[in-house]
Amino acid sequence: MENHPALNLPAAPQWGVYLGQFGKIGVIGTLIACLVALLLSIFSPNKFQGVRRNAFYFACLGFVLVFLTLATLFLTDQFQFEYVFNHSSKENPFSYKIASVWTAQQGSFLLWAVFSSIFGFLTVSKSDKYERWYTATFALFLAVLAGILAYETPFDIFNDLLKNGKALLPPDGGGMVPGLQNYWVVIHPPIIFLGFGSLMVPFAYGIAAMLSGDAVSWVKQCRAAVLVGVSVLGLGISLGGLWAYETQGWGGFWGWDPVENVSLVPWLFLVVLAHGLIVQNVRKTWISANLFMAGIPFISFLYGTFLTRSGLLDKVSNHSFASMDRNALVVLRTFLYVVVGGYAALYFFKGRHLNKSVAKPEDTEAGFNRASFYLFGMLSLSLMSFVIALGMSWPVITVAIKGGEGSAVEPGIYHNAVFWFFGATMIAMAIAPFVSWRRDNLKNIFGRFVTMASFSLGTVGAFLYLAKNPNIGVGLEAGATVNGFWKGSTIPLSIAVSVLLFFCVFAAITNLWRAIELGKRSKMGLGPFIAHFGIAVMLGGLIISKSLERTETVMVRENEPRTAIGYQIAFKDFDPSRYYDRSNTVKFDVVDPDGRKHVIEPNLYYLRNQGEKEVSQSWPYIEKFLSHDIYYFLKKPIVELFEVPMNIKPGETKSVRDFKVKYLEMTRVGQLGQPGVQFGAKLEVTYAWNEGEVPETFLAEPTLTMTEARRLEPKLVDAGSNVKVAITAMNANDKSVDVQLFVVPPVYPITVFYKPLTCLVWIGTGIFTLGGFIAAFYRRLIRKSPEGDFVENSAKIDSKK
Amino acid sequence: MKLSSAVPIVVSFLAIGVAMAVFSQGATPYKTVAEARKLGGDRINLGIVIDKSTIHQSLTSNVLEFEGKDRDGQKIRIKHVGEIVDLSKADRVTCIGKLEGDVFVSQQMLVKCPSKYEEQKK
Repeated sequence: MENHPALNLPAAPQWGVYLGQFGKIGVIGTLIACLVALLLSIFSPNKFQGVRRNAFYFACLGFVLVFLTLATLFLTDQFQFEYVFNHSSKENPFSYKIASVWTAQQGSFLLWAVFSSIFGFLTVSKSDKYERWYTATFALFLAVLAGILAYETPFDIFNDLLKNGKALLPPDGGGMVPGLQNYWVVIHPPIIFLGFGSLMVPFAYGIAAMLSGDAVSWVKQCRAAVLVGVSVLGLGISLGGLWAYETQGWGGFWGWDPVENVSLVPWLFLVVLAHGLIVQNVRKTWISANLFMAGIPFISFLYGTFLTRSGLLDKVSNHSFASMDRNALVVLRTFLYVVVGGYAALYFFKGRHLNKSVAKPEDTEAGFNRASFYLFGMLSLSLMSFVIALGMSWPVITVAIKGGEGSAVEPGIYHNAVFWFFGATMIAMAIAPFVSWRRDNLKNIFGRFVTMASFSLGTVGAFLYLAKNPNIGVGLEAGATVNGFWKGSTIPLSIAVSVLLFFCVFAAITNLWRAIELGKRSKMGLGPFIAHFGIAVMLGGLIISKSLERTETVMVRENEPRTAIGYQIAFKDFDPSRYYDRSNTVKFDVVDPDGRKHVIEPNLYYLRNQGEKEVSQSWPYIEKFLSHDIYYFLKKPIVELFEVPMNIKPGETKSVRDFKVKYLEMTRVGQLGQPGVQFGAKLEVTYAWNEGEVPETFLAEPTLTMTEARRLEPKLVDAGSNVKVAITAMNANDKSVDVQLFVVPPVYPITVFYKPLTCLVWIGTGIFTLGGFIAAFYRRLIRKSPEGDFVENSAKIDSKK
Repeated sequence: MKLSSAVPIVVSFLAIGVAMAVFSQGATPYKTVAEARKLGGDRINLGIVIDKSTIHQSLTSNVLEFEGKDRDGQKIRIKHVGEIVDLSKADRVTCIGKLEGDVFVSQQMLVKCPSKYEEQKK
């Protein structure tokens, strides 16, 4: 709190102080309620059931209340609270003030707790015979989150602002981290944490099923929540990609960073579980496997959370994380051990034997059927998820084995490792919907897919033919290669794209086909096929957009337009008075390859950086079309030629690359120590502006003048037509000066990306989410038809019609 | 054990084994200049502490040059020809590329970026 000494500050409103205390008490109250629900579940299975359920409801509502309390502190600018001060500001609009709640560690744990509570609140009353252990598991988890929030409370007031129980109010807070100030910070975290919250449902059901010995009923009870989780978490992950795409400036969606993988791994496991539940529903098999899988999404997320918050990945992640409070980390780590150890032990001693208690259907004869392809796909997905988790943990593994700093897994290596599982999963996704639940033979299955596989191949071929055409496509380079699927190997880009696209097109076409077939009977049963179609479209979009992108960086100056991948870019306007305005843009005139003229406005502004060098912040400018996106990213303009001013003594010559400065002598005009006294440095500045030109030498004498306020004011002077020179500091003892060269007018580095069919990524995401929700909210009754086959849903709907 | 149970288990072990082999081959720890010289290759991860007084961004192309030291204190000149990187926020970077004589030609540079969960220093 060194920037806000408790001097001359107004008193903070007393209700704010009380509200903070209410928040702290709320966390403790929630913790107690969780413990009551937990203890009653364990020790009093039959008595006090009402009390137990009410205590659990109270805990769930408690988290919501705590969240609302914290949000109120943010909305009313209660900067006496350290957490509010550090993450919000009066200048932040309403939506950012709300979002500030979850931009730091405590708030993100609180958000996790709130959404887990919502799922708990909505599902506990429907858990029937599992309620005792379901409540106990949920309550234990919520108690842990409450414990972490009690240790790392967001309701602490700065110590030196507290006097006699009253608090002083700093005028403003530090504000949200500038890099986060984007509308996605409002949208993305709640959605993805809603998905994380859903992971508790199958976990708690898994434990309850194993402890209660009933391995059947839970499958139907948690199916909707699992499908909601798959949809919401999938949407959240995709929106995270969109956030990265719209702000990071590298034109991509996914970087395989640990923080991204932490959300992907549980989602993949959740998808596996969702399919496992379907098979158990239909075939009455995979009972033990589903009990095992029920816990894995939550455990993998818990593990990922621990990994990223523990500081273990600090040196290898592109993101850097605030390490947790040590006590809170101990709570999280202990909970992780308890969960992993407890779940493994429970499964080993009880869960894996429960399949014997369930009668198998008569027709589970060996041979290929839909379940075989489910198994194939689920195995591929599980392995993919496991391998990604392994890659995410690789730095920690290598440190444990070899010591040192640990090895990070590069994105290219992830691609090599994941490719095989991706291909296998997509093939399973394409074929499974057409295979009967009953025994089938490979010849029949193959026969059904020849047409669709051929059509898919033809589509991919036609697409690549178009892509190669520079007039209508992206001008795919004939000789372009990419890294192969083994280290050191390369393969033609066209082959790599063809293979990857074939998987997507094949899965998309077969699922669309199946959706049309089934749609005639029951529109509500289409959910899974729509979801699969959406996933295939999204992945196809990702592959096309990234692998067929073209990019070029050019340096644009006033009156010096440049052309990047056919787009001519000329500087138009920059308003220096809006230097610190975060909505500021730099305008450029662009002429497209087809002659269309328009203005682009990539965002650029500078952060006030208290005494240190100002840092620029920029967002890309994206033009979205159905056929492609054009993505312009303005990098930090080059104004200062030296990253740090060059310190030179009289007679010395120093250079950075092609720019050479010789300091001839120091000059002075006026009385030492008096306002108006002017110090100068006679310099020779030598450079060649364009590469290959003979360097020219310019004489310059920049000065520092003492103002009335006894500050030295630098004056820039010309050193040729492109460069100005200034002395930014002077040392009276050795007469050395700090010299900086400025490029006037500045150079604007702009990277242009042409990204074909990027819209498919977002269209696919939308279709997938829609399909997921239809599947979640349509309770399909899977039963045997009179013909002996398993009917998924349609007969019932049809009979109603 | 039934064949139908054994096959997935064998496949799983094989797949995980292959993935680990890929990771251990490809996941390069940050190398020093001496290690880079000894190993060769064109995807070396070089961990560098930047000498900020030597940074020079070309004004006509996206070539960025600077000097730095590896973790042994060995000086090296870096010529970065990949995506333009803003080094004003960075003291340490990881350059991915190859050693050409006394210059490390970097195609990709990883700069620690502020995370959404990073506390801003006040």
